[in-house]
Amino acid sequence: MPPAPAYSDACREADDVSLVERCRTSKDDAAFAELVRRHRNKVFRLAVSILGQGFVHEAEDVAQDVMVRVYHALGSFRGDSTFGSWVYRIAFNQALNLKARMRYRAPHVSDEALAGLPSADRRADDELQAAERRRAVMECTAELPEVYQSALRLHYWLGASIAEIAEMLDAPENTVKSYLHRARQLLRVMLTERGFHE
Amino acid sequence: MNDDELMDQLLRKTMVAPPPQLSSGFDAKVMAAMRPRRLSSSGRVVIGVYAIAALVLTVWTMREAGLAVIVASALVTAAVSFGLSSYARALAYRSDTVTR
Repeated sequence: MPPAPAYSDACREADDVSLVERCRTSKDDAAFAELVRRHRNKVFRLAVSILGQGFVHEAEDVAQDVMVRVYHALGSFRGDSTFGSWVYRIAFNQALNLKARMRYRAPHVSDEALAGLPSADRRADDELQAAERRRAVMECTAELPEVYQSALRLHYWLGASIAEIAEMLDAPENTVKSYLHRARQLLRVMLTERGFHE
Repeated sequence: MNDDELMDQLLRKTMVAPPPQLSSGFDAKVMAAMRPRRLSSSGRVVIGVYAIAALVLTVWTMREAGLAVIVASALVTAAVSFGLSSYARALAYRSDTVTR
């Protein structure tokens, strides 16, 4: 007879709804730890996509705060949406609130560093122009509507698929594609206004 | 290649920084922040001794006062204590979740 699965294995096999139920009825720490394990990375990526590339530490604080808030608010989760959507909505709002509070704070890391180092085989002029273009793209991205910024960073920087972004932003996949398309259009217009052409 | 594809390529070339990762102690910090903070045993003794001393002193000081004054004082003290303890708990929660 095979051995009975360990309790943590049972948690891993349970779906989100039954884990939430365990947390509610018996304040089960192992069940909540499993929920944290499942959703922490998406919450963090969503937070960092909203706050921007220079605020990674703040995004981790937001992710931590969101998880604690979720734990205390589990009683108010009605199950109208999936547990993940509910958590990501809290994360989105929490990150936006923090961004509004720290609007005038400089990022810890410069946009130049975040855009990556120029390749070594480029000539100096090309490198300078490429660096200026990268800086302009970063600055213009930060001027886009919040949901466009988030979709762009999730897709291009954090490597999230359309389906993942749709889950995190609680929007249909076609809407996410439209966000990305519209964001690219706006960026192109903004870059052209700054004198950058393809 | 159309404009949209050009912007797509530009963004892929621009956002090349390595994606950040959560710190390894994230889960432990979350689980610690969920639990209410408790006073250490010596802290509980200090608070207990203070509470008993305050009670004895209050009773001795108010021994001549009327019942209405005593009841009113007790109600005001209870309300203020509740407010202060709630505020202290909120501060502890904030410092748990904001600090890394």
